[in-house]
Amino acid sequence: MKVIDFQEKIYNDKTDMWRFANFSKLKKATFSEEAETELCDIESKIEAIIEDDKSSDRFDDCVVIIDGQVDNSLSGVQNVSVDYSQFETSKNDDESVETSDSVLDSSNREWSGSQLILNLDVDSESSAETRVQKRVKLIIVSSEKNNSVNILINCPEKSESSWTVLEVFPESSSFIQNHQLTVNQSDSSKVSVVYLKSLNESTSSDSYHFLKSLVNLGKDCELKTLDCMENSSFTRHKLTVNFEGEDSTADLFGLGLFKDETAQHTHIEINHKVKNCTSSQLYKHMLFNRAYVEFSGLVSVSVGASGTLSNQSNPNLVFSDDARAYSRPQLNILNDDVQCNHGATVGQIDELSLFYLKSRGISEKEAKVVLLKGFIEDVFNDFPECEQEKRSYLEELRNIL
Amino acid sequence: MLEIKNVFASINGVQILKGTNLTIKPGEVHAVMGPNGSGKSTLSKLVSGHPDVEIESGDILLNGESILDDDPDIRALKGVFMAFQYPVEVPGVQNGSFLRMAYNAKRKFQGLDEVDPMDFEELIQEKLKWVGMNEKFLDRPLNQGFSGGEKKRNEILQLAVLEPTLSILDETDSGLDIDALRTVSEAVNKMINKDRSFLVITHYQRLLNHIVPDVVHIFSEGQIIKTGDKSLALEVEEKGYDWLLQPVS
Repeated sequence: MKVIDFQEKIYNDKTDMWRFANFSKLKKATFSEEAETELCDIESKIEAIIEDDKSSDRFDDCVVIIDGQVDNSLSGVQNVSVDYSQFETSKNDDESVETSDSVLDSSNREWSGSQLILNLDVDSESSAETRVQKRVKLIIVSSEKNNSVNILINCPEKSESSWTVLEVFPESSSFIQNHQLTVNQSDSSKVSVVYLKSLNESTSSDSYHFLKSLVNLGKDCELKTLDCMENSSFTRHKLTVNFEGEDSTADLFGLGLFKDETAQHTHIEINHKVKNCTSSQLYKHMLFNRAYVEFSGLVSVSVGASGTLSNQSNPNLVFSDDARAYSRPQLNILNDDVQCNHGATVGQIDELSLFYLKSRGISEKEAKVVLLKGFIEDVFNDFPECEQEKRSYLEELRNIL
Repeated sequence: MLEIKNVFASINGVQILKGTNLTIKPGEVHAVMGPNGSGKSTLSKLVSGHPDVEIESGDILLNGESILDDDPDIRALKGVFMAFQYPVEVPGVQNGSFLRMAYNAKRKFQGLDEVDPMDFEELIQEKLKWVGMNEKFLDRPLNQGFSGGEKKRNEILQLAVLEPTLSILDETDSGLDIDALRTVSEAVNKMINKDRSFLVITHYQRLLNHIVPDVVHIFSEGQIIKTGDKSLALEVEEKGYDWLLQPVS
């Protein structure tokens, strides 16, 4: 699919799921399909990231994926086996039914060419009690202006793993990225996924970042995800969670700090297909200047999915009259005997709390930082490995306030 | 220490303080009593610099200098402390860290280095005993999930740590049981010395049995309508406010 066709098709989708996204800029943007970024520049950046990770001993494995291929010279892999599966070329004859989602799927398959399969190895000799969590970092690098990666992660039965997905963006100011990440959790596995971005100062204007994540949970599984959202011209992350086996839990967290003219669209879809599963969503946003955020959280409970527990919370702090936060909680419940709730707030820093802290001699700026630290704290509670990211947010806030 | 000079002030466009005058000298304990809606809490907000209070005229002097233009944090650093009637819950902010931050802010203002964490630990342990609080409270989020009494104890813990020169207790006795009232009052009494002043706002004489005031003021319609010694509080306890509010025939 040519980039220009992609632009046109995405722009023309007027379905409900996309009606909060403004693609008029995307339609007009010009993208060259030739590689522009000097890979050597990116490599030095990646080496610095790897060196930093090594010194802090945060990860067991590091998989560096450059333009869809694992770079063996930069990667350090012990617990993951790598495979590729070529996509068959197929042509969609019925173009009239194309939605943006199907356009994202087809262009991802076409642009990526193959699926990168990462199989987590489990030491068969270790028992469930002695099994330790494998910590894997994926560094996804793109040098091209339109780039797609399709990754499948297989987590075997009773395994415990954490996956930190860091996307390193091209140096060029205009690009389209369209990635897909699927995680299959076999029974009794525990998985944590953290999404990070490494942005450049030049990353603005016409940068478009699409990510579709899908997690399929077997029986008795645990999933935790954290989406660390930052400035980028346009980001759309769709995260789908399918409960395929009973007695599983998924806790999804997100934190966004948007300081410039930026658009973030988060679409969550949780499908409670079976009994006794629990899901939670906590997505917090802080918006400055002309930031624009849409949070859409859909929870579907199928017939027979008794004992479902689900809650959703989406607090937004808005620091500018020009910023916009749209919260769209949606419940589609087809079964009795379930508990689902949702809540969203859009507001500013609580004036009384601010006064309380100031009345103890703490300056306004410091008091705001303290309150915002409190605001973001619970998002990180389940992710002790993200202490560095939490500090970065606070540092950034200190600079903005 | 504190001079409130003929202050007229309003909240949300409604004039609450209508010519308030009050002078508190160093080392004095003043009590302010008055019926509901008389403006007592506005008085405490006025001194601590609450943004809702709009001053129309008059002045507030702290140690001879006007603090009208000072933000609440500057007033606090200059020695003003208000124990809140309804302490605010601040999720995600650890009580102990917050106390150390406030303590260090004061030290910085005084041109001193930040306190050594070990030294602060020693200090806080002693002050916790004063207010009868368990050290586990230091690890909890600031006031979050605290009972009414625990919040009030925590306010006095802050007061004991920050050692302000002018302390305003805004209905600290509300929500306290008899034992807690005694503990909190004893902690306040330990703080009283010739350099520190206290403004105790209360509805009830019972607090003043423990924290004995030098001067008692009756507040009504945004003004002090009567001033006396501690016996005035006893008289109010016995007769109520009506005899003070009705014009003498």
